[in-house]
Formats: sequence, C-alpha cells, structure tokens
Amino acid sequence: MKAFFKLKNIWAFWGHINLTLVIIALMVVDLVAGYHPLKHYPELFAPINDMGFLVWCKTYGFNYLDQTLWLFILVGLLALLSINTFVCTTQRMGRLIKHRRSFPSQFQFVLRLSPHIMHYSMLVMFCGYLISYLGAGTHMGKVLLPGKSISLSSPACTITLKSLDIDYYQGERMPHMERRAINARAFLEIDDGERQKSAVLGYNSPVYFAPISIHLKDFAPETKGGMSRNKYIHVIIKNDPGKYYYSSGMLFFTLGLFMYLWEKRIKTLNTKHTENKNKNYRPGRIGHGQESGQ
Amino acid sequence: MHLSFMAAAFCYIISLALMIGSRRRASAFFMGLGCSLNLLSLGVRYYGFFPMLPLYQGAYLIPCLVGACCIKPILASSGHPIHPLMVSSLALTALFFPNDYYLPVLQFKTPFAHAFVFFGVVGKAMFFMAGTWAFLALIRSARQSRERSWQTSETGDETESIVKSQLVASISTSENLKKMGNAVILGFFFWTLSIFSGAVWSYLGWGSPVVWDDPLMTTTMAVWLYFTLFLHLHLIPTLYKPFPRAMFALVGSALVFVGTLMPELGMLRWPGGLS
Repeated sequence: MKAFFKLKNIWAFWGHINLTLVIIALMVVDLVAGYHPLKHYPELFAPINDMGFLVWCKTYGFNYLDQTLWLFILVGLLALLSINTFVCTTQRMGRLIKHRRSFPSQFQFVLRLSPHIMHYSMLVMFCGYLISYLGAGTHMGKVLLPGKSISLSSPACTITLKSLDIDYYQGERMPHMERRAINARAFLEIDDGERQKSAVLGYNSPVYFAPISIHLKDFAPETKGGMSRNKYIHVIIKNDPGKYYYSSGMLFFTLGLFMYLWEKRIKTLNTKHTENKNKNYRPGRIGHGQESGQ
Repeated sequence: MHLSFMAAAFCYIISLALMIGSRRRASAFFMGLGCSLNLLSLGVRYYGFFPMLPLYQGAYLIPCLVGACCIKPILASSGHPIHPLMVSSLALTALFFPNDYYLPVLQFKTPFAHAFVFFGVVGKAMFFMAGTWAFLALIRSARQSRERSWQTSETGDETESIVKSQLVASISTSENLKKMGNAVILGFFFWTLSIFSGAVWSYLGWGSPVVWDDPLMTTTMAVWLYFTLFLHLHLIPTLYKPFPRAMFALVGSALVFVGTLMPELGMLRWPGGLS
C-alpha cells in the first residue's frame, strides 16, 4: 500500500504543471543562450545531420563543450518535458473521459481533446527526431555524372544519372541573372536487383526509393557558357526511419491545433449568445425567451 | 519600391498624429492607406527582383499586417494611440534598418518555403498585437487602481457612481485581455504552421527537418515554447490573473522582437539613401 502511494506521488510529481513551467522556462533560457554559439560556430553544429547525434557527441560535442553545452542541456530538458507531458496529459485525459457525459454533445467532447491530441503528437514527433538522430544513415558527398552510376552498400542499390537538364534565365529585367540556372532536373534510374525506378530529381523534389530518399544538394554548371565545366549533380542520400514518426506527429499536431481553434470559436460564440440573451432580458417583458420559457 | 514603403511609414505616422487628436475615422483612413502602400512596396519588390527572392521581408510585411488588425479597434472605442504607435515604430524600424538580401529562386521551389516565411510573419504580427492589447490592459488597470485610490481617499467610501466607473474600467481591461488571449492563440497557430512548413521544406531540400546552421532556429523555438507556456497559464491559478498574464504577453512580444525580428534587420541606414 505504501509503495502504491509512493508511486502515486511520483506520478503526480511528474505530471505537475509547475514542473512544466520550470522546464519550459529553462528551455527558453537555454535556447536563447544557444543563439550565440550557433551563430558564431555553425561549423560545429552543421555535421549533426550528416553523422548522427551519437557520433557528433563523441567528436564535436565533447571536444567543444563550451559551445555545445547548451545543446546537451536542451536534450536533457526535452527528455524531462516529454515525461512531464506524457504524465500530465494522461492524467487529464483520464479525467476528461470519466466526465465525458457532462459535455453537451459528443462533438464538443472530441474538440475538448484537442490539447491532448497536440501533446501526444508532440511526443510522437520527439520520438521521430530521436529515431532520426540515433538511427538515420546518411551518404554524403555522392557525386553523379551523366551516364555514370554509383553503388550503395546499405541498402544495396545502384543509382544512375541518365541525363541532367538545366534551365537558364533568359529574361532582360535582371542583367546579373543572365545565363544563371533557375531550374535543374536530373533523370535518375535506381536499381536494387529486384526493383527498378526511373524518376526526376530536382531542388526540393526528392526521389524516394524505400527505404532511402535522394535529395539534390548541388549541381553544375550553374552558369551557361564561360568556363566550360562538366555536368554533375551532388546528392544527399538519406535512410531515415524517423521521418514517418515526425511527419505523422506534425500532421496530428496540426489537426489538434485546428480542433483547438474550433473549440475556442464555439466557446466565443456561446459567450456572445449568452451576453446577447442577457442584454435582451428585461424583467416584465413577456415574449422574450427567458420569461416565456422558450 | 522603397519610396512606396517610405510613403507607407509616413501614412502610419499621420495616422498616429490623428489618433492622438481623437480623429478616429481619419486615422483609420491613413492606416488603411499605409497598409495598401506597404503591400504595394512588397509586391513591387517581389516582382522587380524575380527570379531572385527577397528574404528577410518580415520586417516590411509586419507593419502592414499589424496595421490591418488595428483598423477595426481604431474605428471602435477600443482603439488607442498605442495601436498606430506600434505600427509606426515597426515601420520605422524596417525603414532605418533595411536588410535587402536576395537568394535565387532555386531553393524555394516548394510552397512550403513560402508558407514558412508567410506564416512566420503572420505569427509575429499576432504576437505584436497581443503585446499591444497587453500594454493597454496594463495601463487601463493601472489607471483604474489609481482612480480608485484617489476617489476612495476623496469621498471616504465607495459610492454608486465610483463602483459603476470601476465596473466599466474593469470590463474594458477584461476585453483587452480577451483580445490579447485571442491574438496569442492566433499567433501560436501561425507560428506552429510556420515551424512545420519550415521543417517540411528542410526535409525536402536537405533530407532533415532541422537545419543546424541557422541560429534563428533557437530563438524561433524559444518563442514557440514561451507562448506554449502562456497557453498553459490557466492551469496555474497564481499566474492566471490579469497583471501576470498581461506582463507575460508583453515580455513575449519583446522576445519576438529581440529574438526573431532584430536578427533579420540590417545595419542602420538613412532612408533617403535607399531610393
């Protein structure tokens, strides 16, 4: 029994709103403090995406602790916030479900769940980031020449650049943009022995070949004419198992956000309706809602 | 294009002067004119430099959005010179600290890139509006308490007319707080959409939802967390009172200015040198 109460107290402590207040306040201070190192030493942080968080910690992270400490503190606070959010929202959700019959309609009850949808979505997002930074594989510095292939070992596949089309600016309004590239399309063929895929790669238009995604980082030549340069593309190849989690987290968080706004709207309309009703109320005037009982 | 923005800033200042002189309609007219000129300057800027895209346009668009939100209160009784003052200050900041930085359209070839910029600017504008309402709530509640202490000391007790005037003042304060709360909710909504759009853009372009070489990422997240906390204040009874809430929103809009708007500003330059 004693152990049960102890557990209950621990559960209550982790779900307390004052803990949220302290954690978020510390996170705000920590993030503001992180602005300076990130602005003046971006080269220390840029490799996180390429090498993953653990390898980054062992190299840049621990070796430049003066500049990276804020990030370690942030990760710790994020972990605390995740526990706090989970416990707090689970407690409140339990209470809401218990009192669901007191809501005027089922719909309003569902809308009332919106903050909890956002909280759980945020946790799914955090999980996605965690998986991504601990388990994602990145192939950096892969350069493809037209007609040439590169092979990947994990997952085993071959990527061939069939051709590269570049559009150059031809308008007259911007003389300094003349002959500069404004669009690039790389025609790729990917083969893993069982599957074959032909796709067009462009800026912000990656090619997916499960489980990898290929992103265009750079290409050449970016200007037409002048010094003749070979055509090539520089790609980032990612194998990120966390993307499904953080993208679905974002989607559900957005849904929760819309539901929250909807709930607020209904509340505002109800308040206005009550205020109007009170304004129209005149004691002794029969025929108005309250007196006639309509 | 810079001239149209200068004209817009001039209209905002006229609107402020008219508001101080209690000429609400004329003030609203100049505010509307200023917003139109401001929008025109942005349109011209985008058109004139395409296929280069002007980054850091937030400082130019924010006065327009805040100004558009201020027209209704200026016309109604809830308006105060603080509204055009806020818009004028923001416009003058953009005018004296211009940051005309242009990037090729190549890396913006997705609607998410534009959504990131636009939603972020709307979010900032809403947080500034929240700051304005918070400031109004604070000065009205301060005036209310000052009047109350003065009247009580004069008459010795609270007569019916004093109670009535205090009731009107407290209603006005609560109206301001309500508007402040709504502005924060809208700001949080757009700020979140901006962060998510930025994450999707970053993923499409670089294969990761976080770009680790942009220091603004930290202050953007700090602002988001700060207003997350604001939206949780109703769960903390000691802080869910008019004064702490208004102070919280006011500090929040200062954080938005210092953390996310100031880094996007350029060096001090005299506006005449722009045209």
